[in-house]
Amino acid sequence: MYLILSIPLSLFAIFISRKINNDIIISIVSYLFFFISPILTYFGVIGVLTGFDSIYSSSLYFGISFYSVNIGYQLLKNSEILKSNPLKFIITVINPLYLFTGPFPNQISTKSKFFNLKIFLKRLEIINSELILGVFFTFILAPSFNPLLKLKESTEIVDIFLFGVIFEFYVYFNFAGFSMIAWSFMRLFGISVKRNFNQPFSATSIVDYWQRWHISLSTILKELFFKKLKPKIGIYNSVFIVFLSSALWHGVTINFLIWGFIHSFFWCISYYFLKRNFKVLNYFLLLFGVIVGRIIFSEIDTEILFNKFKVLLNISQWNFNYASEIATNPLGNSQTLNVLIAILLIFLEIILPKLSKSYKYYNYLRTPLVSSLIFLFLCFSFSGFNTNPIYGNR
Amino acid sequence: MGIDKIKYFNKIKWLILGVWLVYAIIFNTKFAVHLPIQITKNNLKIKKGIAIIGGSNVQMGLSAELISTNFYESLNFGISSEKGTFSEYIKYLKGKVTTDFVVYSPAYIWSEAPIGQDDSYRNSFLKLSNFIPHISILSQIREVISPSSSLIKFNSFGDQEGYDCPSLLFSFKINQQKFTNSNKVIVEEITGRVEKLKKITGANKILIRIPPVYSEEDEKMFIIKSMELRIKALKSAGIIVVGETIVSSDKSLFCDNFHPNEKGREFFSMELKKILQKMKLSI
Repeated sequence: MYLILSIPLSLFAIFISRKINNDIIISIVSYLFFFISPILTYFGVIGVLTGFDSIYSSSLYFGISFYSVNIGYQLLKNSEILKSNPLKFIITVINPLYLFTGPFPNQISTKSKFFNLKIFLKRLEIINSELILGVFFTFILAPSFNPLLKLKESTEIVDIFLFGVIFEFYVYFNFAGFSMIAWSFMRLFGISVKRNFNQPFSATSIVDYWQRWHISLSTILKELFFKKLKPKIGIYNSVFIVFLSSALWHGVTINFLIWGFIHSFFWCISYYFLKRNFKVLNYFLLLFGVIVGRIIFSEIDTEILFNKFKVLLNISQWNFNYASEIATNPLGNSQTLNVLIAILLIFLEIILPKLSKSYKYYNYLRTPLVSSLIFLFLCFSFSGFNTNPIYGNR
Repeated sequence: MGIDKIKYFNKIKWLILGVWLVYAIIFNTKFAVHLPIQITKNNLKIKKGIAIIGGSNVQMGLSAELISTNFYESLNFGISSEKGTFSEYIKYLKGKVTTDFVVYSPAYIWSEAPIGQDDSYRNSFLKLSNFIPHISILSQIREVISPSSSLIKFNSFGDQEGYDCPSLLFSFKINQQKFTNSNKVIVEEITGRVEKLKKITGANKILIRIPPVYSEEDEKMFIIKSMELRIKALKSAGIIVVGETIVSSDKSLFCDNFHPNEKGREFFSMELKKILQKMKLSI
């Protein structure tokens, strides 16, 4: 069903690239493509990304937030390919693999290749470790945090912060895992695509964090907004526009506007600290920014969000003497084990790059031995596709 | 050397995958123990009284013990995932339910599309899911080492004993257009199920109960109105429908938008009991 919309939109982009030679008009049309999903979200046609199970509206709009942005980006960056090889462009746009959760295929492959089983199997030999890691993140680690997400209901200071941390982990394993799965399948079929995550918890500042999280969207935002605006309005204002656009892409709601504002603010402070080499301060800002950002991200109900803010800002409301939901340990045995593994992986992600810069893109989890051990654990504890991509479908 | 190492470990991975596939294939045969619930619910049998059947909304959300108190004997035959595996479920009921009076609380009644068409793009995914064992190898090993430790426990009435509410409470939502458009198909399916149940249990009277859902106040009336249209269509097809609270905005009664918590179970069981008492049954 999604082809009913995606193909005409792609054709419209091809038409613009062929008929219009004015860069400004092409840029405006690209921005319009980017803002299709915020507009649809505003009018309630598609859901807001709450971080919990995506609000799926209709198969007609399936993946629109991804392919509309992709069309805008390709129109701006690769208009020559749109003119010379429109079919390749359409195939890149409608490729269903990235429509569940990304990553965006940033390049259009112009080489004409037919499916070759021999090449496919060769690629599988290498790429299976990424696929295994993706499935492990998505279907084993991420769902284990589910029972702990109940903390969202609480307005006690410790619970609010704990929820921020747990929700960050939950989103990370779900989103990074699904991205790895999509990336692996695209690579298996020879589609050139960037990895969406590069160990975000290895980051040492908020600036660094955003270079490691949802990389494909960051690349697009950089090309569409940052590079164009920076020479005109300066780095700080450009960053503000980038985060605001990113926020609107996630959802046209108060919480996302606050999220965009706060993250751009923290990014600017972080950039200032980086220039002055304030490493420790930058690290604390990263921890605080990521947790607070995630709390804001999760709360679509403005009243509850403001109540949480009140608790965070009013020390007299901080209460440490209460029975937290987490104290009853809502996790079963296998979930506890999985959560411990997840925490160990995050610990490794933080520590290993400090020991050697060669640890990147989870290569320490993709070595043949470690990958086999993960696969063994995965096969023994797999009990179905028990989670949805929290970042996609719309 | 590096390539050799990759090839060597890839062989190990194929072996692991092979083990899992063998497990999955065995799991999909009749030799497998599918539902641990069924083991503990296998002893339930009812010849006279009220058989309450349905999915997790019955398993977790109704208490046959409460309904039985100072009333006709009732047993809870609710089993999770009844919605999608009705043909399997009636096999389970065969020989266990031979009473004249059945209350069926189908989750399916809230569907917006026929089974398998809920999300067309997920269809193939769902088919694949059916092959994947929902009990992991690790859980099976644990079961061998420590039998019944992971089983859900039920009392002699078939009511689930103690459960946590781990999920977050989200409001139940429907797409009005899809919901209304699918009324005909849903009514046909429910009517077919009632006929099958009559055949297999020999029951004279099968009541369809609407499982209550949790929804926020602003959407409540709109959901009720949509369901009332469906109830009207069911009644026109000769189905007896009962259900006092269809949609509730009382958070304290629910685990999630579709499953009552312990307090909710008591509330909705008493509500159903009152309806049945008003009907002046002679069983």
